[in-house]
Amino acid sequence: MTQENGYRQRRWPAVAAVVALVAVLGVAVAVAGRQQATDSTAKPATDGTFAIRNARIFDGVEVIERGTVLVRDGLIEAVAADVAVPDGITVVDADGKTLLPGLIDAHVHAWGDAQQDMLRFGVTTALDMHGMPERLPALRTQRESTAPGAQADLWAAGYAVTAPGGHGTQYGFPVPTVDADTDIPAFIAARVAEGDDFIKLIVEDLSGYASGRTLPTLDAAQVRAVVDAAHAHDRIAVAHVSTQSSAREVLDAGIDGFVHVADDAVVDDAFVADVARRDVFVVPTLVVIASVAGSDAGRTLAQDSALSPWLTPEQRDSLGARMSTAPKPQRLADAIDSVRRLHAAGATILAGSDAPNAGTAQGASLHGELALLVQAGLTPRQALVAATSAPAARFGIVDRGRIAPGLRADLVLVDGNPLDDITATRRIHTVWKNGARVERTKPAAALAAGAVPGDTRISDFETGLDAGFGSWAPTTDQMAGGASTVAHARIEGGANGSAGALSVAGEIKTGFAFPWSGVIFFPAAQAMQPADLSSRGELVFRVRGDGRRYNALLFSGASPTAMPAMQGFEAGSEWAEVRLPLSGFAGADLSQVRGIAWTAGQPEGTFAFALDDVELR
Amino acid sequence: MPSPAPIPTPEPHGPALASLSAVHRRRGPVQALDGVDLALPAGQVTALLGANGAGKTTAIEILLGLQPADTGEVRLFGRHPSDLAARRRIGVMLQQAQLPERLQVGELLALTRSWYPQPRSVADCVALAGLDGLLPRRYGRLSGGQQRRVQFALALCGRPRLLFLDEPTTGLDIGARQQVWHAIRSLVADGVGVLLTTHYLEEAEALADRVVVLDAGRVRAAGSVGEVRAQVAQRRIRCTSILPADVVATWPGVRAANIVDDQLVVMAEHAEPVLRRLLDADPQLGDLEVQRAGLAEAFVAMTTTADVMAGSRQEAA
Amino acid sequence: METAFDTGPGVSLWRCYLLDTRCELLRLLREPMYIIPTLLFPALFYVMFGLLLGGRGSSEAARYLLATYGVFGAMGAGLFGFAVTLSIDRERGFFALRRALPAPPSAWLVSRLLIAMLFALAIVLELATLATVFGGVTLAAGQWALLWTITVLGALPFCAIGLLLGSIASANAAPAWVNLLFLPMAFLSGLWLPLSMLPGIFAKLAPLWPAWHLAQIALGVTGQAGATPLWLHLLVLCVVTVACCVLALRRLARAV
Repeated sequence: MTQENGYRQRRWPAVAAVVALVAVLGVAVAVAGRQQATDSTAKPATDGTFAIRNARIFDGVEVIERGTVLVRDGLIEAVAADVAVPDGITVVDADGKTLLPGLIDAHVHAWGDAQQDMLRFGVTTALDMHGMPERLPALRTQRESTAPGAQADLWAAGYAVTAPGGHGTQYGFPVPTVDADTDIPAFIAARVAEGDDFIKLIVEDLSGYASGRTLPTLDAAQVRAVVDAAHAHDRIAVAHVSTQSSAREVLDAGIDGFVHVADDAVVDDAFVADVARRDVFVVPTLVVIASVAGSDAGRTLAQDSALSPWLTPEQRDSLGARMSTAPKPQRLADAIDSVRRLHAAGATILAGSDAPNAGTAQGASLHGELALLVQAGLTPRQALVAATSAPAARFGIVDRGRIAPGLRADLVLVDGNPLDDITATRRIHTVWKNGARVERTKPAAALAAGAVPGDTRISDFETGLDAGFGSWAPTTDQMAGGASTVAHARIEGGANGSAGALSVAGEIKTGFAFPWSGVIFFPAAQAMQPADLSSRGELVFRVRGDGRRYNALLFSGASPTAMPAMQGFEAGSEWAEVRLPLSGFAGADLSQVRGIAWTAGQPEGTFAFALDDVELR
Repeated sequence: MPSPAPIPTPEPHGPALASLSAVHRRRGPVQALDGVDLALPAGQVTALLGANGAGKTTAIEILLGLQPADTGEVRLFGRHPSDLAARRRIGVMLQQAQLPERLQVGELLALTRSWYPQPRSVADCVALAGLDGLLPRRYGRLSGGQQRRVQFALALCGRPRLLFLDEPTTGLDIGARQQVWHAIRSLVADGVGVLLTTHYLEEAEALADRVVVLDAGRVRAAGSVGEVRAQVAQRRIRCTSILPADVVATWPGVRAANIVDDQLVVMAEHAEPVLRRLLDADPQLGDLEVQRAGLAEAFVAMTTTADVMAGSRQEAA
Repeated sequence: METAFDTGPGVSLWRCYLLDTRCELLRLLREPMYIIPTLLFPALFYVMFGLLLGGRGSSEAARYLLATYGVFGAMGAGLFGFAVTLSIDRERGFFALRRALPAPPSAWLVSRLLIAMLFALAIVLELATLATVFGGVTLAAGQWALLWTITVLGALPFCAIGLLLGSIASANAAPAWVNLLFLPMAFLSGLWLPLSMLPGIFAKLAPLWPAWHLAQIALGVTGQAGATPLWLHLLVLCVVTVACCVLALRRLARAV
């Protein structure tokens, strides 16, 4: 048959098409299936039995230049230069890397995601210095469990012991305090009954800071009584101090350890000698002193390329924040000098960060502290001891802190040699907790701040609480444990004869140290979601009220829980226009505005004001 | 009995605009075209006749490039019909084609006109095809006859040199049919060639310059109407008689004999001998009528003999 | 054989495309039974499942379903737009008539492609409006542009599948075939519910469906995709498009 007209179709294109279709779909299923399989095998092995070979091993005290660690069922079975590894066990080749015991942070305040955040940076255990006792039983259960975990374990002080109105009572939760009439032995017995692992007391009257304020605090006799009572219950007593004189007072009272080095001056020789003689340990917390001193250490740490990808936005915010006190670089220099002297005299130094104070972040800051300890004269090995075997020994933690047979397999494998360059601790390769590999996940990038519509008018309350964009909500200190109240509603009769206004009325009551009550405007679709208001310059509104002074608060930045910036305004009996330049909200990040609040603050009592014609120009 | 061999086509008047030469085409078990020659000259209407399944549709589809020929040559304006340039000079009206129902007549016309380099004006199309007032109407809402007229308009709108009209006036009333015939004649007068298929034999007689009869894939007869009619020189004898038709059918010289409306209708090559025999056989014979056979009868005769031959072969098998 | 795009002097190919597109569009717009499901259902389902039921106040769900319902809409536009109209035209002989007439051979294809993409665009814009106004979804301008481009271009593989169906099925059967393919594929590709809510076997088989691959690409924009590499998704969609086109066009080029 001829085919002069080209209608005859060759068969191969159709066959090829069908074959290609079947093939590509088959490939797709296979590849995707393999991807899912690798994802599931990437999860931490719950086996708990494996070996690490060819590693430089720092066991908490000594260094083995090249050795093997054998872990079985979550516990270390053998550590030596030469360990026979049975067949069939997973082997991790750690050539060029150094294995450390899981790090211990000797001074933290842990809530929220703190325990996860720490673990991501190789801190497998921490000592919490002030918090609610309700969680103590759960913390104990967790640290005694050998199940694979996603959190660092905590030993905790429970409530820190402080005077009424003293340091430690301002954090939004009620704290039992010791005053002149307190039966201290009974008080400490109660604390121990709550589950405190150790007793922490606070001696702080702010005299070391030139703020002019003084706080009530424990006197020498009370400190003595607390320390004795703690010892009677087989608990060590540690102290927060910030001045040389209070450090001396506490040392004489028999304290077992300091959880800060006093940074108002350099320690004197007599103090150093006594500390060394009495074998009192010191947790210098140089990173937080650096923050108080106004240094950029926190910001620099956040930009460290080994640490940065693993920081959550909140951690990054925390590292970049500044203490509100005026910078005093001398404090850091003095503190470093003090540490140098104490260490030279043989005193036990422990590594602790006091995270998450401004300028610090859980886990990451311990690496910063190690670097500062080296700067203060410790060798890298000694700094590593300060973060592993030493705190374990001093706090009575027996099942970890070293790589030794029978101890828990809490391990950190880092690239390079931290014994030469302490900053190598930041280059974390793998973390094991209870013998299971910890899945470190890089925190997702912060949600991009949303754009808002171009309306300058937010609300005029003519018919209701609708806004050009965003939404209104009440806000009080009840979320922080306070008792203030508010009611907000649209009322008839607004400014300039307009139909409606927003009435805000309520009562400020005691409860929270910094009470507030009022309304808040959220510019984005969801509460506290960031919105980009950088193109706006002014917050304009009309207000009238009872003559009290009120505050406009602007919440912004990477963290929803950061303190707002504030500008005040008066609410007189007649409608008046108030124009607040947005630049007047000090420290605000206008590209990430989360909320704007109009609130009453101190003093206690009822308040009432009305808002109208709210605009962001 | 006519020979079953293909009949050579007499020379057409002008050069053929399109042609099939010795085309064979098989569709499944059926040999749809079995060596067909067909030429379509300019300025003439060629009527293609045949029973259902004779191969008319296949022949047209091959000329239009909708089907390939298995063997033989197809030419449309000197090129292969799959060549777009060739088809730009034709207009087509297909019996089986239904246009999109939701489009308006005016939209269909605009669309089809856009495919031609020098289309006829819309007014011209409307006038020629009788589409007055139909332009804004949706195709699906038109009557069958109106739809036919729209299809006719689409066939003309490109100013084609060759028109393929497949049953163009089916469903049209007398007036509309006359209008279409008028349009076709005026186009032909302009030199347009037309291939027309129809089962209205009077349409073929009225319009066709040439007739080609297809039967079982072969050209049974080709030529002018008169020639084809004459090829089967027939007389029709109509009478009332007691003679049974099947007996008469076997007489020599009788093509066919049927009872139609209580009358005996006999088709014979030569009337006289058959008449004599009839009168001899049935002295009571009455209502005698002798006519020259029309194209219809010629057509039937041609195609019926083939059926009979096929039938008798089947019986013998 | 002539090229598909040659029209010779006097006939403008672009004008043919334009007129053909206009005619095809008018045919569809005059068919309420096509417009309503194609344009309305994705938006309706999105409101029901994405905004009201799926996660009140959860912008995660609203974003996920924004991406997947866009894919759903593009699927529908491609499948129905091609399969049904093509099968009708074939059965009614219009396709053959066009082949006999000097209609540019690519015109019917191009016009339908443009229309399918136009409908897909209309749907993504509908969904975007609903998502931002009611769902609290915020995306950067670049993300919106990328999502819309992906969804609109993503109608092409389904145009190809619709083309294949339309070249095989009769006019009555075509809608049934399309629904038989369309709805189960949408479900099994995780367009309505995340696959994690279904038994594991469905997640394993998901890569068989072109809709799953397109959804994964779209979810990549909102940052909610799985771990399979992009090249795999693109490869599958390209091969499906080409293979279905080859098979369909061969069928259509055959003798009518």
